[in-house]
Amino acid sequence: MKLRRLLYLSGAFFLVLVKFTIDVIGKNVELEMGGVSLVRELVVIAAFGLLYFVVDAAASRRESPPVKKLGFILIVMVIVLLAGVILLLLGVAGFDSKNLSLVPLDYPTIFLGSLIALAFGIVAMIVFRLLRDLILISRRPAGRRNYYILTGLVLAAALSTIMLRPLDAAVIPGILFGLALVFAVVNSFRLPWIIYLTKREKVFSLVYGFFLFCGFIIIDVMLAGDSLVNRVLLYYSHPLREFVMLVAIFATLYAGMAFVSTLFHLPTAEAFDRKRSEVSSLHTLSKLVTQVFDFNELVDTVTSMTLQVVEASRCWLEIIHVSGDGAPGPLPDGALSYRVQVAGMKSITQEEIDLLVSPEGPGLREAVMKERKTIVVDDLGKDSRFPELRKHAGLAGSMVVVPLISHAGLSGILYAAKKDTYGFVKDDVDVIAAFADQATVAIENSRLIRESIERERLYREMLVAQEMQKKLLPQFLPDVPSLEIDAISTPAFEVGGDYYDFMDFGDGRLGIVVGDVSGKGVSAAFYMSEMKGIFQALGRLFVSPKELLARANEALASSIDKHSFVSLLYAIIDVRSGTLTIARAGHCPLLHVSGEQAAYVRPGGLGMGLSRGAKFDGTIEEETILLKPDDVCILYTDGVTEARKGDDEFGYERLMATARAARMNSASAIKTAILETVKTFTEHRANDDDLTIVVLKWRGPAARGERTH
Amino acid sequence: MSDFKIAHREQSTVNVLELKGYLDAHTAPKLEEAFQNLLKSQRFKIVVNCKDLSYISSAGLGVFMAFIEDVRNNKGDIKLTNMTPKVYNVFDLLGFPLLYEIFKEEQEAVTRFFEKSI
Amino acid sequence: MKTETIQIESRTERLIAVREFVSDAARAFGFPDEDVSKIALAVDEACTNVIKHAYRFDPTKTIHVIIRTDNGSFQIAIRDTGTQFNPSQLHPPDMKEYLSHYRRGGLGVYLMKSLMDKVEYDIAPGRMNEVRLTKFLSR
Repeated sequence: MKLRRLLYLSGAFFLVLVKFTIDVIGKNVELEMGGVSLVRELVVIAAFGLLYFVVDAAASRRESPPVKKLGFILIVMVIVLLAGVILLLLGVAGFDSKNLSLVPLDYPTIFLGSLIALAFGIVAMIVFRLLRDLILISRRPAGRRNYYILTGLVLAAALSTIMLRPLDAAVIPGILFGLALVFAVVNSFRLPWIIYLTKREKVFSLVYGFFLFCGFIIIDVMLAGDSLVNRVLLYYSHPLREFVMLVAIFATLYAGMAFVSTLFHLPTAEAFDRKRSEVSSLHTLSKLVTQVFDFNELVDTVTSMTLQVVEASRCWLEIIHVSGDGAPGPLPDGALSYRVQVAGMKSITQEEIDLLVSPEGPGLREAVMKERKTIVVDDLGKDSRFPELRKHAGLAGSMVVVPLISHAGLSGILYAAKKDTYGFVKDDVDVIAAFADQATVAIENSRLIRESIERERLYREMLVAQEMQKKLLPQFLPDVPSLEIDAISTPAFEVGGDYYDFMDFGDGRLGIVVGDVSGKGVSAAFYMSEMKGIFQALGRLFVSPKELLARANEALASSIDKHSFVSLLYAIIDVRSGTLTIARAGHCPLLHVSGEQAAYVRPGGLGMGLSRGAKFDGTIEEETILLKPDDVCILYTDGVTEARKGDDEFGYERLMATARAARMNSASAIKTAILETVKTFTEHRANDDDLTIVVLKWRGPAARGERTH
Repeated sequence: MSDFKIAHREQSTVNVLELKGYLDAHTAPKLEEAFQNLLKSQRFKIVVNCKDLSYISSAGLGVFMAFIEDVRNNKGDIKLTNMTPKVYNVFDLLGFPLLYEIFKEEQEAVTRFFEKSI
Repeated sequence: MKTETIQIESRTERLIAVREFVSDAARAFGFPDEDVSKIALAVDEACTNVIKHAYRFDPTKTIHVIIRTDNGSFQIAIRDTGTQFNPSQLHPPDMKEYLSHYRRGGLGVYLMKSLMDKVEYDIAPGRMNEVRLTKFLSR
């Protein structure tokens, strides 16, 4: 790029030299021939064409604010003015007019004249280019159109004089000139940038405008009439002079308009500034909607912006929760109990907030919550609605309280206070209300996102716990000779606290444990997994169920928390002899069905985890029952007996009846029968409690204890 | 069968079997064999000294029952002596004292055989 | 409640092991010596019956002897899977009649009933037969 510009510059420079040469030669030699004259003009035009590209490139690169552009125009204008003045002062010989032509009288005239002409020309281009930027700021199509027409006319007006002699005039150029002037006027109304000036900038605009206007008036005068400057230009290039003239007039008009406009904008400047700042604040605030991942940041932004935009001295934001279950969320209409949390505050302390909105006191919060509308207190010291506030007039002169209401209900309250009474004008109230709306949406979204993340996390946690638990329950039923087994465990919620497990001693004895951890969910599952560990570790060491429970209790009691306990039933069946030895720690009794008879076997014992050592050991009884062939033993948890239908529980009688009725079938069929009966009883409602059933059916003494495969 | 031994003695025409150890279903065949041998060799006067008999069950009793008829039909008898209280109780439970002569001492039983000369 | 179990092959050789097993338990339970003897004899008789009648001396068969003690009651259960059903088990002979006719066998049952406080039967030939002998600790 730079190279290109350099190229253009060099080209222009060369052309200028050429022109210069021609001029010098032409001083002495009559070069009236049309061809040479034309060449002369063309050279100038070409040179300026190249120069324009350079100027354009330079101007495009620099993005400066309008006032700076004005300032720049002022600078170049001053330079050119000075140049003109110097020229006049230097007292060059000047020109003679002859046949509407200008004849330079000496070489300095030519030389200096060329320089001046160049200066004016370049400046005119710069000014024109900068004015273009200012005009086209608004990018409106009508504006562009007008501008291009102006440009076109200016160029046309200038070029139409190409064949004219310096002092000559003609109709068409004249008309074009006039038209160009008209459009210059039109374009000088294009001052869209004035509105956006800050106060400070407006002052500059005023000053620059003034001086520009004056300066360009002088230039206009300089370029009119018989002044030397005019002649220099005309001599150098008639089109150039036309161009410069038009630009100067245009600049004058524009500067004048700028001055006047700025002047008339001054009174509304302040209000406008504020409006603008409000708009930009709202714009920032609307971006809040995306700032939902960090709630604290969000609240901070809302309170800071409120302070800033309405120029409040204090501001704070309260979030309202529906209390009771403590779930955060907007307060639906009519909800009476709630919890307030001050989420963010600026320039105020909690004590001061309490003074201003404490429930016994002013009741600002209650009023807003009840009416669900913005409340403005213009004078804290004198408001009749809130007499209690008078005491605290020292803290604030006036306040605005806005409820944050979404479709779901009232989610918060935004407060702003100013030192002065009547400090909040209508605009301020509107702005705060607008903020409140934005903030409501953002806060609501933030809450929803947090909830959603929480739910997501809980859900994933639940999945993990479920997986874990599935692995803890036996994957296969033991294969023991002469014994039919089936089992099922369905958790109430995603994760349950029921537990069953087997320990095959390999010699005909099988240990079966069924347990129930109090509580539900993940913590219950955790204790359940601990039980499994204990059972697996100790099961082989302690052959007596009572002994095992005692040792297991020791292991569990140290880790279980005070509010949980585990009930267990541990039975060891010896399929060779048909004995079933049971110990029971606070669990449902084992159901033994033998032919027509059925009975609950209830050796005594405390639940696990409640006490340690001898106290527990002492309570555990062990009982052995002798099984007959085809006897059925059922171990289960209270999810079965406590399954509900309305006020009624499934109970022990029903369980016994079901088992007795089904006793001739296989263990699987018996299990299914019990399950189905319970489900039918509860009318297929989901179980409130985890449900576990283990069915054993002993077929008679096994010949050998070891597994056959 | 090391826990049951039978020693055979003769006191003139009386055969004394000394039982040592326990007499249950496992060891009873040994006693049965002994009786069978006695009967085969026409010895019908039998005294069973239970001094060292620590235990008897119905299997042992059954052996006596099996041979008593034959023995008595041959003008002989099986008399029992020196029982420990434990063993005697078992006999007593079954009413055996009604059926058998039970003596405290072996000599009494032997003498008994000679008293009844018929 | 405490439980102890022993299982033996169906061989008369093993009777002494059962007697010792039961005697130890009975003694530990607190029975005086003569009761201990009675219990041991009763169990012997029961097992002998099983070997003789239920299993017909088949040494590959198994007998389970289970002792359950609870609150002063001492119970021994003898279980077998024999297919033979011995009626005399249910009806002990009249001793007088027995003695007068010199009948063999059947004595065991009579003894059991005399030696123990309670004798119970559960018969299911081919599946499982069980005789339960109970003696109470008199205190």
